[in-house]
Amino acid sequence: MPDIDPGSLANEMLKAASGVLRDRWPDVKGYAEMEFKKAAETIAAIQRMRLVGEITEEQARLLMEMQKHAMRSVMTAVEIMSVVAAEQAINAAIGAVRKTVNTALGFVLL
Amino acid sequence: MNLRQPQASLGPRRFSLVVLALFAAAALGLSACTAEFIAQHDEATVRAVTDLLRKVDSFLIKLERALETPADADDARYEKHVAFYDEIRVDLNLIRVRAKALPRNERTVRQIDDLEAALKNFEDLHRQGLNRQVVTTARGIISQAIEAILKAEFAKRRGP
Repeated sequence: MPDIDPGSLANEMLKAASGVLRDRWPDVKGYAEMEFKKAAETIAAIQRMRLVGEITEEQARLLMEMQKHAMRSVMTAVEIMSVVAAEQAINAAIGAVRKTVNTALGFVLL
Repeated sequence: MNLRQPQASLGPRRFSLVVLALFAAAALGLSACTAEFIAQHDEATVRAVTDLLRKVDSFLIKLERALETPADADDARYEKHVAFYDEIRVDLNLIRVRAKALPRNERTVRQIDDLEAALKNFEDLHRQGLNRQVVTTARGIISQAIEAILKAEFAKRRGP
């Protein structure tokens, strides 16, 4: 069984996530990089422990399940950070035209 | 609503801005003149999740210590810690109920569900019998899941 390279694994995860998040990627890149690296190292450690017989197949499976849930929580955090960044961008844009629009309309719309 | 005297005429640029603003307001359902797609930061959730992290981490450190020496390994047996898992389940349920009650907070509820599932996996591992390596690895994973909830909650703070 070939060894898992945590560096390559983290890079694959980063590539996939950055492709999906595109415009919002710069807002979450630092956090995502750090967490993907942690996850990749954990996955590699689980494989190593299984190979040398420190853990059983069932223990490896349950640890991988745990890591899957933790990664989903990380990805949800990334999603929340992206949504907040989008919300702030929209509110900044609205703020920029607020005075002009309200003055033009003659009442407070924005 | 603050009504003022409408201006006699709008220039083409201002007219475009008004149309754009009307569309934005309608599309975003703006009621307070700002878009809000996600729940506000909730300090009570931060406190409860931080307490949970402290509780789970202390428990895992104790297990690690017990498993270091064969003489103490019996202290790590699942049967001796069933009450801890019940307590954690209650804590998680309280956090989830509060999170569910907050509007636009479905993503945080999803994170809590994932944390609960990870802790359930660890309980299964414990039931089958642990060794130190398993506990150390699981500790890192659980911390990552809890930190993700805190990271997201802090991201919800909108600065001026």
